[in-house]
Amino acid sequence: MDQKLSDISTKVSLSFKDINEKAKKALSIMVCGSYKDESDLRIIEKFRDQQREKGVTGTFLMKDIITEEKELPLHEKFHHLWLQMKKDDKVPLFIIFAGKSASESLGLNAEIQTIAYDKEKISCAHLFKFPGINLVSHETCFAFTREVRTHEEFIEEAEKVVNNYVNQIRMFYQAK
Amino acid sequence: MGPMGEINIFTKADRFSKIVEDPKSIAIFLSIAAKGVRNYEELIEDTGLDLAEVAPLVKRLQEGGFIKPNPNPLSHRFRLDFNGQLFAEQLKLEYPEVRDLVGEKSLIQPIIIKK
Repeated sequence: MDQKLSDISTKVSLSFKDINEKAKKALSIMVCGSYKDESDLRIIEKFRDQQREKGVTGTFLMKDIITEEKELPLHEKFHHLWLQMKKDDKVPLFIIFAGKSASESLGLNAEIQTIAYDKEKISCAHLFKFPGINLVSHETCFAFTREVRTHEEFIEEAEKVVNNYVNQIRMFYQAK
Repeated sequence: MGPMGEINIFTKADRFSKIVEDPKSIAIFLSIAAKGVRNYEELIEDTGLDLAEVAPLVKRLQEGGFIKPNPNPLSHRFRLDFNGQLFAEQLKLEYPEVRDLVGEKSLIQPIIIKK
């Protein structure tokens, strides 16, 4: 075997023997939010970067993944992304932040609508919303919804959800 | 964690574990990530494994969404699938050696939908 490839593969696979690290990396987190308001966008980017710094490196925003070559209906883009995530050997989790510009965001509302039609998607989706934000009526279908009043509160609450998933997976690995 | 519908997070976590703890699977995965597309012969050459070892691991990586066959099935070549693209980016964040091996450029390809 190519020595460099061999060394790297051994190093990477050994690092996954650490249950805590492996549990963090088993997650595929899609953070969704409105890009209409700079502060709403900055906060979901901040959340993504913080999670990555904490070792939850599979945290992405939609814009990290979909750089479309042709225009597609928003709900279709999201659904196709889901179809990919569903078949993969990673644990899918959607963190949806409806901040102050969420009411006008076609993209975010299309995502909410697409999730609400599908019980599998709903089971992986956590919606965080500012009080008084008007979203599509489908938001009431969400099983996991929390009201947050500030960007900081969103980060705190969303982090609790991620930690909960990591702990569940870690305990599963421990029990094996 | 609440109801999980038909998605079993523990089955997924278990399957993930089997791939990432196996250095041979990681070697095949990184070889494809570094070179873009690889066929069986090239994977055997890169990894030093024989076909009997490579074939089931390739199948396993395919099932997990890490790699996929090239569009022309007769070429018997493989490239990164969606999960593999994200996973390679994950590894790049953590291991400079992986970044050196596969390059700085993002491996995430736009999702193309055939109508």
